[in-house]
Amino acid sequence: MMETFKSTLRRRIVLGAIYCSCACLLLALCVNPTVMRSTELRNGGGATIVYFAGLAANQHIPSFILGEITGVGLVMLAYILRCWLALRDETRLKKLYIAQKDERTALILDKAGGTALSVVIFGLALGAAAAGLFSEIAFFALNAAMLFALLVKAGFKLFYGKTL
Amino acid sequence: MKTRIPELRKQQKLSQEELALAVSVTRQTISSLESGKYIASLGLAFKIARYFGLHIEEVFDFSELEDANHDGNL
Repeated sequence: MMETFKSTLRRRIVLGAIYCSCACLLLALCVNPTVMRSTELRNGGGATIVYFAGLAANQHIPSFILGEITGVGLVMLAYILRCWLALRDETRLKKLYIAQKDERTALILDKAGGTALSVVIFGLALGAAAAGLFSEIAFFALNAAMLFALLVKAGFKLFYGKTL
Repeated sequence: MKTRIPELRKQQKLSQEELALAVSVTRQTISSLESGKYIASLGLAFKIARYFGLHIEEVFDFSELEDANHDGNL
């Protein structure tokens, strides 16, 4: 059981490292002034995801995405460190195993996830109705997001209905 | 659901943390079981009972479930 968990942790470390490497590469490209394509981009505070920047409707959007990628990368780095330390120390490994496999925690996550998705769908429906008064694009975007969330929920319901 | 876990723990001078570690759950799970906020899965109930060397029904009180069953609520 612990051996399976250890190999799961190793796999997670590899996947995390791949993500972090890609994020670092992207960051390196973005902060390098030679790859900035125009004065407009430089004025955008380094809004330079090279390809996307040309397509984005607003110059701040690439910066925002870059921030998200960096944030996820930092969280991933912390998780990699946690897994790596656990692999070197049996006590930490047992604690991590318990934290991840605890049945009450799993139940809390399941309940929170199910409820959260319903609240999100309801919020998106309300948001779409409100946005419809101001912006056609926002109305369709929020409706599309709501439909996607509904489809995901229905899909999982069907899947678990068949498999459990 | 009522349990005899606190009583059995005290008899064996075990902390919640020690019992939790022995049955591979978090201390919070043991605490919730003891306060009756959470009902253990069959697997966990079996592990806890086996740890104390007892049968499941000697550790967990199923009378509430039986009453509910008789009342047609289950």
